[in-house]
Amino acid sequence: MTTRQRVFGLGLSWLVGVWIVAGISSRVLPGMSAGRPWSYDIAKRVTPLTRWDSGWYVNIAEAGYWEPPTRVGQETNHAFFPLYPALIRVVVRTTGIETSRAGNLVSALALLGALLLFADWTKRHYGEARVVPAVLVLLLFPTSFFFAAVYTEALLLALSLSAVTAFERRRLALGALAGLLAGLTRISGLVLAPYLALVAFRAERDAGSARVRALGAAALAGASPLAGFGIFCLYFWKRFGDPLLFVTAQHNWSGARKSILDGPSLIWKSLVEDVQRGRILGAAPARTLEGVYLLLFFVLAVVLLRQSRRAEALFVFLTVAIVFASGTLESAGRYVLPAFPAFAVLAGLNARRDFFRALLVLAGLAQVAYVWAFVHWYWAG
Amino acid sequence: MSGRARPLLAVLLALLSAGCRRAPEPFGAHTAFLPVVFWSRAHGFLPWAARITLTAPGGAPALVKLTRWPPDAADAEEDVIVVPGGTSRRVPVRTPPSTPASLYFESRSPFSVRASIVDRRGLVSPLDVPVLTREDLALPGDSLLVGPIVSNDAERGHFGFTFPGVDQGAAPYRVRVRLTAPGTGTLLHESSFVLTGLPLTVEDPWKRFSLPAGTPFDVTVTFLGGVRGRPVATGLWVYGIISVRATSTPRFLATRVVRASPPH
Repeated sequence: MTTRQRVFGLGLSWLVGVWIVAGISSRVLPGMSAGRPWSYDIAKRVTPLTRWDSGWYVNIAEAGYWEPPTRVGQETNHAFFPLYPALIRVVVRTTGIETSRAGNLVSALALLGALLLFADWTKRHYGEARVVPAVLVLLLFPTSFFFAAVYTEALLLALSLSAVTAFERRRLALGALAGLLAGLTRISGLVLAPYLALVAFRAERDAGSARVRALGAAALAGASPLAGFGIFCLYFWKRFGDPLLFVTAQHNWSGARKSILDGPSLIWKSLVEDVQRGRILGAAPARTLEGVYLLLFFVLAVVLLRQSRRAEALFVFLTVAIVFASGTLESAGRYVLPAFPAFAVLAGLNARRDFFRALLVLAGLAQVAYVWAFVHWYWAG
Repeated sequence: MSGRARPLLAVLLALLSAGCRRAPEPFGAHTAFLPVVFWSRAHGFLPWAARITLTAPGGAPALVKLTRWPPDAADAEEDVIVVPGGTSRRVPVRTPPSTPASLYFESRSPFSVRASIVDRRGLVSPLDVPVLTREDLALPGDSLLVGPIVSNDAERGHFGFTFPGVDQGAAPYRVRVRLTAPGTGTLLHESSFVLTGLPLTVEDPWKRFSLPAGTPFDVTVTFLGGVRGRPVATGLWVYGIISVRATSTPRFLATRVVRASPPH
């Protein structure tokens, strides 16, 4: 069996495992739930891995974007990017399957594609021996079940890896297309821009291209996710007359006016408040873990930097920075998932085999707990 | 075929077979559709109750399947009710409080339904619910006309969208709504949108469609079909209700269907 086949098999097995856990979770203590915010018809038809923000993607896939928000605090679907729900819509229209199932299918296919690309990337950068441990780390990271849920993480991971791989192989058009699509998938796609630019520049220079050509490739690569976001803004401009409707909608979600510049101070305030009120560790394990994940990825970015993988380090740093810009640590464990180079670094712990295995088991058990909490509306991720 | 292609083909076939699933088979040729029932006991509001009676004519019993949409609990979504021939029996409403719901009856034998929404105290005249059949409902392409919806010192109206719960596999539905001035036909509003997967009441159409408060209008709803492209077995209905402000007495407005497709 080749490494690629093994990776594909691991991906399929993991998907089956997550679905078994989700299926069992929805049947274990079904009356126990933090609340059922969806109407009877939605709750009845969606899959167990369709919760929280999944509802917005299902809604966009079925109904498109609504009328723009008119006040702060009004939650509307303009805060969500269009590519993922558009793909869901295509699957629904083509096959007639239920919308959330189509979302899970898109996520699963994206994940399987992403795993193969991640295996190739890891092999190129760390060698064959690192591939399977890295894939295991990626799949068993506690919050990784979002790759199977109706969320954009799997698609963004696939597109990010496609863009990086294409630019590393100097296939500029393909890389630019993947970068553009990543910019249409999620705000995290934007932090790809400097990473792709550096990757394209490095690849061209390594191939002996002139500096001007390398700079041109870097500009194309860096611009591609920004162009994707630009298309999203243009669409809102043409349809609703507000190119920054995404930003407006994002801000309207919070009860008060804020900007991304307020993010770090808001996080600092909430951290201080958590410590003062004792909302840490055992008193608020999920909340504490969000901070731990963020810190972990920050450390992994430093490790990448020390390994002289500057472009990858920058990507991981910027992925962490997005959380700081959001003004809340909530969902930090999900936001870091597309930062794939960090998982390859983490797989370096495989050198201490027993310790590594114990970590994987622990992470896997944590993932099971997260799935149960997610299915029962206790944890949004 | 290569080994790699086989699993992909299997997935594709499974998807296509799932996607091509037909509309649900009817339980029987005799149908009755109550577009909206409602009950409430919220403090400060009229204590409405729904009274539904099922009758089997002649000597043969009727086995009637009832689909509530939405029900008050999952186990109440479908009921099979036996009505001995020549008798009547009350049907438990089992819909959530303060929520418009539709009831769809199907049987192989003839039966009749009567339904009304009554003020528990008996102070307000009952609202007789129109009893429709599957054939009355609008299919994709058809239009439903209701109106005029008014809001003045004497009366206030609203309208709503409803469909039988047996068709939940085809929902949610996309519609085009045109609001026009009664008499002149001047267009006041036009938009297309996707309904929720449940009966939907537009309590304040003037706010919902950004019309000047109280402007009277006629409603034309064109049923564009389900967002999943699945066949619609039954159809869509739009109802209008006008209430007299002084007495709270409500009445249904007549709804007209303009067919773009042959009847069921």
